[in-house]
Amino acid sequence: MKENMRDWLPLTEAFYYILVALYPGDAHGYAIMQDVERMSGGRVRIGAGTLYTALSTLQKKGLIDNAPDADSTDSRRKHYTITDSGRLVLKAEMERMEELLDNGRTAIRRARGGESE
Amino acid sequence: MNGKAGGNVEYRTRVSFVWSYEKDEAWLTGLSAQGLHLVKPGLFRNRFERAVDRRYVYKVDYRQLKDPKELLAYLALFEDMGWEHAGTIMGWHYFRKPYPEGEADAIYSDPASIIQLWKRVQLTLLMLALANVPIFILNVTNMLHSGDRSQTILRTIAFASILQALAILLLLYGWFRFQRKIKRLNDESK
Repeated sequence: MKENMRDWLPLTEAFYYILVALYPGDAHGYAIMQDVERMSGGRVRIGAGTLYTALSTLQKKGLIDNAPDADSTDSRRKHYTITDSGRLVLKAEMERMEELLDNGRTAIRRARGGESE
Repeated sequence: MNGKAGGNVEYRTRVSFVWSYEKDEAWLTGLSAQGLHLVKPGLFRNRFERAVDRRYVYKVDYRQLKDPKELLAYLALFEDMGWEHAGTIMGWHYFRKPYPEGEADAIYSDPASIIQLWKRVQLTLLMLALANVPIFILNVTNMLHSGDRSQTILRTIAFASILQALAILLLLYGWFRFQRKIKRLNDESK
């Protein structure tokens, strides 16, 4: 996993936000979508086809898995849980983005410093 | 509400190619604006219901789901997101949603998943084309090594083989059209 973890990066926004939404706890597809929309202030709206594609791809690659049915009231809907691989990929992506941000901020700071000199 | 469904039902047919499925979506959404709503897609004719008090936007998705439980989960997810399932034909799922006031909802919201959709369609086109090739070769070899067959039979086999060759070419052409769509989307999203 460690070897091909970098193959996942950069994650699409849909992949990234699905992993983020599942990090605190299991959820079904619609709840994930609502959570993502809320977190992004309405900016990221994952379509039904994109969400289904992303969930089945993430599951096939072992980043998420089917969660044991928490409530048996609804057997049609699938519940998902994040796996250890999923957590690793998410953290690797966050480190990658942190590097991008750090370098960008440093460059801006340096430019400002240059202006004032 | 009319109790008898018969009075409100109409059938429409349209010749369309798989690589311009977006035009089918536009056609269905346009008919819905005129009060004619698809309720059951068919191979040769589509069943519509006439009603002036509503309007839908139609979208299609392609996905072969053999596991019935998986299909239910798939449809449940679309239903949760406001998409009513109008029917499935050859792996093409038809969905509709009340026509939105503002921006129309898409079922595919990022290039990565659209490309995956197109690749699924491409794979089917390629498999169908390849499945036809052995039969085609068999027919042609039969034709070439058949001294004692009657002219009528030979002509029939020849005609069938030409049709089959055209079908294979059309399937491969469809594959190529999707390849171009994928390339264009890849270039745009770079």
